[in-house]
Amino acid sequence: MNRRGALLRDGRAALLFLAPSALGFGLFYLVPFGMGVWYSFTDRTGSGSFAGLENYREVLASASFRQAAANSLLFTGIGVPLLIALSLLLALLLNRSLYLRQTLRTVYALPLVVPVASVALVWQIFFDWNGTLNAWRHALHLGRIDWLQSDGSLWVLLLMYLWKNIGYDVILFLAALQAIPASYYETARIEGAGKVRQLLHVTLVYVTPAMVFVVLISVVNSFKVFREAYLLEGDYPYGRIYMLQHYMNNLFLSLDVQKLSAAAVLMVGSIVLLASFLLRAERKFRDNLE
Amino acid sequence: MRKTQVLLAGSLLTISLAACSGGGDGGQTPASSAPATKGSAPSPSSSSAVTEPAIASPASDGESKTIVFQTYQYNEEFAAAIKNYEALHPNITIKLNSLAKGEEDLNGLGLEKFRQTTSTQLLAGQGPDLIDVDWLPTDRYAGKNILTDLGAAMASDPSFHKEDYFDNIIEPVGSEGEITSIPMSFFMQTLVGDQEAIEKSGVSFDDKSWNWDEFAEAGRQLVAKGGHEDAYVFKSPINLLYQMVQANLPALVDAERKEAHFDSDLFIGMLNGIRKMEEDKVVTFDISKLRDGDVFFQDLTIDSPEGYLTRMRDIQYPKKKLYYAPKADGQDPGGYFTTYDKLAINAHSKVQAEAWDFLKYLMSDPALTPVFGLPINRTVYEKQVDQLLEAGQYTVEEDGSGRGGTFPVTKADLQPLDDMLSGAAHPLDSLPGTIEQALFEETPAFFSGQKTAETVAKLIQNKATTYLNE
Amino acid sequence: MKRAREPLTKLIYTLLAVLPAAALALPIVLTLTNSLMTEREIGSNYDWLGKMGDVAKGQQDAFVNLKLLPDWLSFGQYAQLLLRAPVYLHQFWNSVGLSAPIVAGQTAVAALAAYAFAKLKFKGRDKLFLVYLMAMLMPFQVTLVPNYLIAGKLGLLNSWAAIIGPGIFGAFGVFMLRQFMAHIPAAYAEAARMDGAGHGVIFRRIVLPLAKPGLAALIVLLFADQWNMVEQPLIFLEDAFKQPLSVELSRINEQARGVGFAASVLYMIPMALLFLYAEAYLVQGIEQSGIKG
Repeated sequence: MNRRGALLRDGRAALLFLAPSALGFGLFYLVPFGMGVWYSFTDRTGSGSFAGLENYREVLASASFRQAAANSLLFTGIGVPLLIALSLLLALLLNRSLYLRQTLRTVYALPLVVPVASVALVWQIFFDWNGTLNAWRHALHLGRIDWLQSDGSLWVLLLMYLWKNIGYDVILFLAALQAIPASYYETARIEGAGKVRQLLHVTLVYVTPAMVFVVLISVVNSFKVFREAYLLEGDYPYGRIYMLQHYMNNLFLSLDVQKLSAAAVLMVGSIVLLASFLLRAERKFRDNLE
Repeated sequence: MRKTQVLLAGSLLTISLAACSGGGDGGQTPASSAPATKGSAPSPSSSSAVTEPAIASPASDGESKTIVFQTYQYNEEFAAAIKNYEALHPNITIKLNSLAKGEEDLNGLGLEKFRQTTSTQLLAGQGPDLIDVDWLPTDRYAGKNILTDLGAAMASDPSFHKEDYFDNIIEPVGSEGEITSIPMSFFMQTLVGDQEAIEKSGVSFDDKSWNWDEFAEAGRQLVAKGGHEDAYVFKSPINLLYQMVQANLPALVDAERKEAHFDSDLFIGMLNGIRKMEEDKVVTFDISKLRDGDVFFQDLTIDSPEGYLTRMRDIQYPKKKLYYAPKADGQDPGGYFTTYDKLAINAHSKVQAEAWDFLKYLMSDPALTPVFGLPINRTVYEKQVDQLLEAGQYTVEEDGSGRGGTFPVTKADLQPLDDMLSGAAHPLDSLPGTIEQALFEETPAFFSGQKTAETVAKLIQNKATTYLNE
Repeated sequence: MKRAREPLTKLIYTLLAVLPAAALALPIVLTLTNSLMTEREIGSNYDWLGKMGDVAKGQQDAFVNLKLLPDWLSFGQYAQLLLRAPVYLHQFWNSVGLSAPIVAGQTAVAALAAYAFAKLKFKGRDKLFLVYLMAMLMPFQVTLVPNYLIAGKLGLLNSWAAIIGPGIFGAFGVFMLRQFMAHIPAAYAEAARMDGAGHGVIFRRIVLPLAKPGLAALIVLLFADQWNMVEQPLIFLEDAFKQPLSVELSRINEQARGVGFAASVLYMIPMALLFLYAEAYLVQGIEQSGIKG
């Protein structure tokens, strides 16, 4: 009780620590965010007037929005768990003593820095109608597949996403693994825990806070794969990989900011729902520790 | 808890303040844009007691003003016209903003910048006053108070004489509602035929109303009668398909009901039909036949009176005649044209009147003979013709084929062109950009034999449906 | 620490890590080796990209030619890049000028804010945090217009400040560091507090050193993000000579694929160096940072 009281008196300190961030954040993010939300309730940009939920009704009635939302959900639903599982495994591996450990870690981080055009060009070389993959199929006397214009395009995009982001998540997990005090492992060992138990009860448990962040940032990054998809396939790709980002970008170019904002609010709302669920789980977890 | 509420309330306050000021920006031309939003434009005769300078007589009060003119590619003619205009109007400065600055935009970055930047500026209620909208999806701007209604501006400006312009190009048949952009130039698309061979064959057709099936049928008969190897030579199968789609647009795209019909027999029939026509020698895509071709028809793009004469001279028929390109069933008669450099005025511009005046100047400056295409101004065109007739001759440059030289020209030589221009009725670029792009990207796979017509049709259908339902 | 002493186990684990690394490296190796080919060789290899052989007219099937090794080494692309296209070099330094202040600024600002979110208790903390999160998630197409209006009001359009300002206050760093700081055991701070240390001291002496791996990760990831920015500079910076190289490298120029490869390689070098440097901190565990629990 005493400690809790002390912590509640942190208000003034919090103000000081938060002030620089809050000022800039308010100006550059919160105000634009608020304006975006406001747009979603108006009928016209600028001199628009309040239109209630009309934009939301229109967005939800749009078959293209529903398609984009379903595609994004599918993509994120497969991509994020896959990415996290793979990168956690790799981070655990890279956290051990290995030969060439430093080189390996650098290699994993490299995809982060390759400029988009270069990446897109390489993917094009592989997945084009005349690309390497089809050359191989041709050599095996199989027909060509127009990879990016088929239902397989989702997997191509997933591959691009994994390739680009695995290093990102590996770095985050590596940092998180370092943050676990060695004493925790020692305690576990003294209590007679084997390696598996140590992994389950120490490593995985203490990686959880970073996990909340990794999940959300991976979701955010799953939307960024749009840039590559856009370079390869333009504003209107094959139906399977027509994502929310395509929908929103097209609405933007159509100057339909009201519907665009409504779609964005719906999207952000869903992610925030996920986030608050994760954060609540995290808080529970923290309370259990203390 | 209270602190949060205060915090949130505070942020909401900033939000609404910002929203208001954002809105204010949009409407900061209150005098002109509040009552003038829809369909009023800079109503030049605006007698209403507006504080702004009278729109019909811009800048006469000597107050210096700046017009921002945004284009994708740099255009020397525009730059020259700006110089001339600024010399005539010393109080007006025109800033030409070309986002692909001079250089060729090889990787498309300039175009992306143009589209993104212009969209952002327009949405912010700011941005350029005059815009080259050739590369913008203006078909989706309708009803959003983005671009000024130039139709109203033309109607209410006493110094603007509609009859001086090709108003069949500015306002083509079937176009309804606002005119938000005016092309600076255009091209006519027609057919040239070997009149003698056609008449000798005895095959009859009515080119004023024929559709593509009738054209193909006539072509088949002509080829059967002999005289030429193929009936028609054309640039490429894709361009031919594009023309067919344009003609049949209402049957393929129903924007009202958000439906596309590219998976229909009609469209698949077009794809297969083109191949059939090629097999039947109704059409050939061997462009080496374009000049001396052993064909009954070839297509002709007319970009200027002189260009028309030169192209016609190039074609080695004993007697030549212009024919209309085929159309869809029930389509109004008339010829096809494509437009170029469509300009529009930002509805939120603070110098609408000045921008309109400059636009008028661009439309009528005889010194500003468009390099690309026929001028939108009929008097400028007539001046070009008069100059040609006055000289009584035109020169074809020697290109090594022995066809160069100087040739006489009479009024009769140009009469068919006159008729063609007056009969122009159907723009060849009314297809939404997205669908056009899908068409050009997906159909090569069919024409090169790599994919079936059905596969390609389905791909285009999906993209078109997505587009229409956004 | 003890378990990997056996060389065999170590070798097996190394191989396990090498296989995915090879797959990850392939596109990079391709970029690297292609940057050493002549434009002509690249042309002949990739000419068929996006084109269709006319099978209907009896043309042969054609494919691109994936080649990992150049016919002969050529540094022509690099010469072209460094000598004949100075704009690339200029834009490279623009990238540095834009990224460095953003990374430094955001790390500093975010560390402070993250401390408040992670280690201080005040009313509405979690709700405010959620607000940060929401604003961070808003797609840029939505915030673009408001940002444009704000930058215009502040007179920042066509200046680097329009990019750097929002960059510094991004919520990414706050979010990330909060997660890292939240789980620094409370006991450390408690001990210092007993000794009468204030929040400033606890932040500087205890939390920051302990958050070093997180800070290193943040710097690397932030730099990677900023180094590849495209949309904002494209719209906010009118002049090409103010733009970072990432904008130019965001699109494929089919006429000059080779120069693109070479530029990409040069562009990767600073990031690779930064990573090599940060890596030491990234893997520096709590036991090494001088404080024992």
